[in-house]
Amino acid sequence: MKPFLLWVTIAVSFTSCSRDEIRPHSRQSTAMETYVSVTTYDGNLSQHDAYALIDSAFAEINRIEHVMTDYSESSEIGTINRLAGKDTVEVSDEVVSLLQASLSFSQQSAGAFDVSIGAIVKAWDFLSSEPEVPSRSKIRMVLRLTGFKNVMVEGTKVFLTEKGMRLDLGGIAKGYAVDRAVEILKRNGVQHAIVDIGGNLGVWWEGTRGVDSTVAEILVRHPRKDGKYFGSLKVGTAGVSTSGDYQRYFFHDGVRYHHIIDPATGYPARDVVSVTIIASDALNADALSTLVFVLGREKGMNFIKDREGVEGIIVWEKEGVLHHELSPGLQGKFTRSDD
Amino acid sequence: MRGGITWGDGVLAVGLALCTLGSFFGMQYFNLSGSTVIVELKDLVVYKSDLTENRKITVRGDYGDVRIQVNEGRVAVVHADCPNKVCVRTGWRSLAGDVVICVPNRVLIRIVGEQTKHIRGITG
Repeated sequence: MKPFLLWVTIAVSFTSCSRDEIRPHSRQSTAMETYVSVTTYDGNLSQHDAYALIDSAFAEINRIEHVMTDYSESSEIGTINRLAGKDTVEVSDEVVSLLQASLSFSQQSAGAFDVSIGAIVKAWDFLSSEPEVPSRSKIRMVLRLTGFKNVMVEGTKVFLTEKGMRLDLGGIAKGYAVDRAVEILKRNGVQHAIVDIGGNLGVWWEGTRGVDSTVAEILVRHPRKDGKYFGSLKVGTAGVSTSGDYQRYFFHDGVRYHHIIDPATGYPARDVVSVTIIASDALNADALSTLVFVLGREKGMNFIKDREGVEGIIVWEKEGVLHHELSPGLQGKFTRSDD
Repeated sequence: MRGGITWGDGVLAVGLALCTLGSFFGMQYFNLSGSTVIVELKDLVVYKSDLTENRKITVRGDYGDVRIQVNEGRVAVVHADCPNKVCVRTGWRSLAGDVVICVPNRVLIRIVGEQTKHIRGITG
């Protein structure tokens, strides 16, 4: 074979081989009130080993759900809520650690992120078959039961100072579970994986980091078009999360009421329609996407810019047209799709 | 036999290169839609079909019926006997890797395609 043709043939073969080597093993199921997908991409992992590890990751996610859910009165969070205003509850180090991380986000954002928002979330009840706008008096009442300064954590003891207060870890627990699942895979030698809990993504790719790497393509869902995507970017090891007003919502008198509530007002935050955060891990991405959404466009972008290793996309709507702003580290790395 | 590159070699090389680049970038950037819809009930596959075949599927879960519609390359839950209807409000999905889920009925609808072999996540 002539030399030039030989090189062309080798190049074509190499391109084909590199795609085959990905060898994904994936499993999907349900947990934490949403879908869960765990995928490994290790070429040297046997099918049996890959699925055994994926099952271990699922077991960890289910364990965390059991501990953190506020739907069950017997979970650790459920017990704290049940005994609010009455008694101190001894909890695990894991719950303490997550609560402390949550309270830290609350302090950094002057309460834009607040895990004591449970009473407000319950008043809106976005998961009911026919959600309604709560009355103003109801909102005023539940606002009095909201405030991160009334969450007391001392050692492993937790106390909510007001009867009727409720913790809701919906803005952080999925990200935490993603990180734990990734950790299980990582500790067992998996080098490449993506864990997805309801759009909260954990990308683990050994030797890569954040938006400086281009291993995994991330599609950002379109806030206003079902089944379409708004744009895409590429990342290496990172946590990616999006909070959007299109995820859980209803219309009343032509107004969209969505599930991302401003703890200061008790009503849905209105300034933006979606926030995507890329951070070092999924816990940070999850919490920060909610936090930045509540802060709004200007304050939210400043919050992102002030944090090293955090990048974000803020999308807002003006007169029916979507606009977006990228944090400095994402400039030239996000490709918007044709609307 | 004469050495060196002939005119025919050049045409063949350019053709191969274009095919390779076309398939690679086409997969990566343009062909994001899925090709197959898979419906699972309690982690078991109960239905699998081409996403381009329009049809209506009904699956019976713990809370009752989940009615699924496949239409012009998209899939949606159009009715569900469940308390919260999150699956119905999810709307239409069409991208490879997309899912629609009815948690109370444990019905999972997945869209797969060539793209699911790539390293991709969907957020939002």
